[in-house]
Amino acid sequence: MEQIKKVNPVPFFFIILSIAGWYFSKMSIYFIAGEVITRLIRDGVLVLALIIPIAAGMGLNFAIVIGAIAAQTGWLIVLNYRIPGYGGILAAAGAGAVISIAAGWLIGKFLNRVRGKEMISTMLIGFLGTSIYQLVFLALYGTIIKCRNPEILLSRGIGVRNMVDLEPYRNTIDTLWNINTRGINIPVFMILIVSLFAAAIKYIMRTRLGKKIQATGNSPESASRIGLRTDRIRITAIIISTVIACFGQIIFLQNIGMMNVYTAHMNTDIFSCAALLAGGATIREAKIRHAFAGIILFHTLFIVSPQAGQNIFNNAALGEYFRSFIAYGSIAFALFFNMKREK
Amino acid sequence: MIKTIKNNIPQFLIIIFAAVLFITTLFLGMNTKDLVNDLVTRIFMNGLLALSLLPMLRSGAGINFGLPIGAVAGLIGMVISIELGFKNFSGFIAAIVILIPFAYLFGYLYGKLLNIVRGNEEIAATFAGFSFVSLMCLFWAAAPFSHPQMMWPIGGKGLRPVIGLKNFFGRSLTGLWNFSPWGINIPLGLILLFSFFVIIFIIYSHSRRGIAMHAAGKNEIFTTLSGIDVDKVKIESVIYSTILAAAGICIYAQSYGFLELYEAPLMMAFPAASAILIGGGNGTKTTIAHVFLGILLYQSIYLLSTPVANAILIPETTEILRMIISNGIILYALFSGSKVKYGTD
Amino acid sequence: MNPALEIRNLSRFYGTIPALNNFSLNFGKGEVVGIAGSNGSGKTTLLNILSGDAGGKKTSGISGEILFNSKPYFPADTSYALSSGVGLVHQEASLIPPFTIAENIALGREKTYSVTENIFGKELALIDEKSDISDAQTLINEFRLNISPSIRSGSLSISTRQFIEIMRVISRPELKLLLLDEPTSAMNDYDALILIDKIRELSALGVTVIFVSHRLDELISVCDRIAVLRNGELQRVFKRSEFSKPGLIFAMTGKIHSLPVKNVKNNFKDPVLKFSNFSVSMPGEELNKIDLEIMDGEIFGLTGYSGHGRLAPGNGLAGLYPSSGEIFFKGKKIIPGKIDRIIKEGLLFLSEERLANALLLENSIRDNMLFTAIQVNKKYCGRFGFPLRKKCGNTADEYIEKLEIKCESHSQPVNQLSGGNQQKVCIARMMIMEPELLFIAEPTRGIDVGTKSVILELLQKINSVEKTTVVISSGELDELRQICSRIAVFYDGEIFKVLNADASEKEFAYALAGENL
Repeated sequence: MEQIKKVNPVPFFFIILSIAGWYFSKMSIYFIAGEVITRLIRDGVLVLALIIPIAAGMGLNFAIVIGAIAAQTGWLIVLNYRIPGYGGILAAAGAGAVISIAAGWLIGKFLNRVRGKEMISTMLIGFLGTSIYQLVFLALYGTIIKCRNPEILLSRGIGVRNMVDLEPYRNTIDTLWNINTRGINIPVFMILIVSLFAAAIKYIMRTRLGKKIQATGNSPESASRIGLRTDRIRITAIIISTVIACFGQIIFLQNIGMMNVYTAHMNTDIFSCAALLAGGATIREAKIRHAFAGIILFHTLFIVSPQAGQNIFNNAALGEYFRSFIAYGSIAFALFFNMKREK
Repeated sequence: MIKTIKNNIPQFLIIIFAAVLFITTLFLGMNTKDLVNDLVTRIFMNGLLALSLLPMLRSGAGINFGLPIGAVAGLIGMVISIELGFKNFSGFIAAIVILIPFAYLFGYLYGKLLNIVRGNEEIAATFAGFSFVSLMCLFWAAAPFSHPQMMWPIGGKGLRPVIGLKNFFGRSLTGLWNFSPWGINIPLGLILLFSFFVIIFIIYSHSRRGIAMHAAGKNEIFTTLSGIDVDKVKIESVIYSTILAAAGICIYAQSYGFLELYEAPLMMAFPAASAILIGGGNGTKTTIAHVFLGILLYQSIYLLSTPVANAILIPETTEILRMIISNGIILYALFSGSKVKYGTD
Repeated sequence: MNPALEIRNLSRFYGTIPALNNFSLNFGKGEVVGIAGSNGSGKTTLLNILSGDAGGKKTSGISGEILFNSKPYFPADTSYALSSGVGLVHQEASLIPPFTIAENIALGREKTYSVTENIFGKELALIDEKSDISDAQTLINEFRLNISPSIRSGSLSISTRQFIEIMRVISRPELKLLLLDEPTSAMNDYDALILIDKIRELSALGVTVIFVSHRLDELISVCDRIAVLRNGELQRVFKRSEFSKPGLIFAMTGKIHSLPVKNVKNNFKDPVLKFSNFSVSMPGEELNKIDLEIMDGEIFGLTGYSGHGRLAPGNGLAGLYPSSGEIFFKGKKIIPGKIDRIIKEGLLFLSEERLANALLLENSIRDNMLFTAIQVNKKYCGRFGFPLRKKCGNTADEYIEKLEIKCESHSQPVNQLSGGNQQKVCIARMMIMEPELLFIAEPTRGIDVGTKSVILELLQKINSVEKTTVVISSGELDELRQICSRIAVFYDGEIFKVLNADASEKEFAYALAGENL
């Protein structure tokens, strides 16, 4: 039965909050615009990674953090073997992709077993994956894994340093093509890369695989009855998502120029999901435009909140807590809103 | 005997793992008496938090990932108790009394929300908890409180993130009625209070309403067909769990000696959940025995892992190892709890 | 000429219960074979095995041989069946609602731009939507429908959706065996004729068709042979020359064996339960605006083939499925689903799903028997709301004796009891409540033969001694005829006829098949 398309109130809510926040923060619109463009590039691909699992009916894929971890592992490998320049970036991406495919396959198999509880599972898998990753690089690097680059080694001889420098790779692809207007730096090449990913996802959805994914997500029993291998399709969806997240994190890190080895990936899942939802996506449906609109809205709010809090209440901390609340709250709202609809 | 082992393989693996850790401590020459003391205290300090999951498990509302909501009610109770100037044991009692209406209200609203997402509670509860905790952060930061020892110094705004309880009700329960046979410290006050809650639960589960609650978890349709409003019963179980969680954090805080606000309660549900699951509890069939065993195993591993990891590996890995075991247990429970497979491969 | 499909000794057992038992039949190329029989007769099982829905031979309980085009054929999943050339049109169209008609038809085999196919492979090639749309339009025209292929499927009528499902299946060029599961059940006569024509077309092209339907007229008009299944076994295969409705009906129903039918007096005067314009949307048992009056003190039966609605009134009354219309009990309107009200008025419902809905399997006999009484009447509770253990135990013992329940003690968990004893526990739970009306569904399902008559006697006793009105929905017509005074026969979601229990077998057989004498 066709549902009358109800208008999703969430983006409007964010627009109002962002405008109010901007007004009270008294920040320059150009400054905000510059920051938002940076975030679009940094987080764009990560948010895009969420789209396909939603289409496959698996809800919010909190396990994109595993893709991020794969990327970081890729970077650590590259740093360990000291592969420079573009080659380094490609190697990191390549290694990360391989890990992502393997991890994505495992995650997909697990999720097929816990149908209906995918979201809590991906969240826990994210936690578990983080812990394993931290353990490996804290305890096994320098012992089982041979250290070939003492610069990233902790002084005690075992474990990777907390912070490693990605400076040699920074501004390799970042600065490839820049335009400067009114004090805002527009990295055109990077925008093209992010757009390329968006186009790739749009393309996938218009292939046979894409249709199968949508069918599986919308009506799993019907899909199964008419001959679609839903188990395989779901695993494929998660693998694609993890790999995209991996590339997203590669971009993110080379943009920042340094990596917090043990914490860089933290909260990627929460903020990416919140951003996607802010743009108007739901647990069952997410489009490219939701991703981009969401990043703009969510990060605008993110940027202006502390200053607005300071100006209104004389309490910057309020602004910071407010944006955490918005992040968690929009996900909570989306969950309840969606599940109520499905009743 | 073999059948029991077969049905509970994870529990036996954990017991063996705990035993291995214990033997390692002996080899490392650690003080067993100290360890046992710590263990006893930790068990009863954290016990109620784990126990608080039981009503919702039995009524079919699932693992209470929204435990932080109850924790916040407890924090409110304690903060008000301090603000009103209560000290020592009366401060503790005041905290417990004050939290009850808050926990009841929060539990009721939270229960209503859970009924909307019936069948898919876990993730919704998690984010309800996260959102509520961060909402409360705003409250703590804008706090209408004035007690100097709770607020930021130098005219700062809002409550401190960590409030020392030494001058209030810190250790008021833990220190109550202690006695030490054979050099092992037995915190009788703590044990009695925990037992009190256990006994109340057992009595309740034998009452008409308690039976209805458990039946709702075992078979919703059967229970509905006997005229019981399953929605209502589930909300009651959520209120019960929330109140227990709130009381649980009071016991924890007074024993720990510090009241932790802001984002501290965020992840509290997960250790409590893994404690019950380690004990073999899962779904409506969970019993008090599962809770006891689970708390014992969880706290044993928690305690034993620190010194062992320090000596063998690297100190920071203890926390990571605990997280791995903790989350691994919950994932395993999710995995083995779902046996139905559909679709093709 | 080799048959296209050969089936030998195909069986599917669920435990010891056969859904299909030693089915053997050959199907020629291009032949249209009809399968008639009620829903429990095994036809769905047959189709599921052939379509891959049931899993392959490794699925437990399945045995036998199938040869498709002389090669062994036992599809493990639907995907394999499809690629082998077997397509199943389900009873409820399996469409993806947000997809357009063209997308649904092409799903899985969309046309793509060959350039992209060469680079990325078939799965990741860009779909040529225009091609799919025009293909769909061609099919739509063949079926003489008047819709655009770009409409979303969710908003279409049921019969249109059925057509699209059919189009999807037959648009596969490699289709050799077409399985149709009640395809016309939601169609009007005109649409059904279009489908019949299409079947003839396909048959002429060499596609073998297995046509399952309960509309005997349709089967007679298009099939070359009709096979009748009953209770999982092949009853008889009719050749074209032997087609006749009475013949088919007789083969489907068989002889209604029964012990001497109850001597019906029928002097019940006051209606105690009344359904008015009552509809229930219970998947598989839809009920469409029935009117029914049950008299105080009688034993009333509801029967019909499964899927035709006999289970719906009870389930709708209990609120297990959404319903509309009105129900009156003792003259007062009752709201379906407000069970505590209904129980307090004196109406109790015992579901046909004994294990799923009527028992707490791990609890003791005592707990089960007294559950409703404790919760609703609080009779067995003390002052503070605690059940009185001793009193409960004694009552349980009393009923164990009265109903002759074979058990160790009242503390034994009910999942250790046999089906018959479990049913006795359920009935005891009802009896302890002393209801005015007992609505019981499938009372003897899954019970051994000896205990069946005991249960029936028990129901009779409840009626005669306690003066409780009893309403029974059951597929066992001969059992109903032993104890009921009147029996309503359901067909196609409506009450076809209400007969006295001592009406003739022929009347019942025809009513069951929805045919007037």
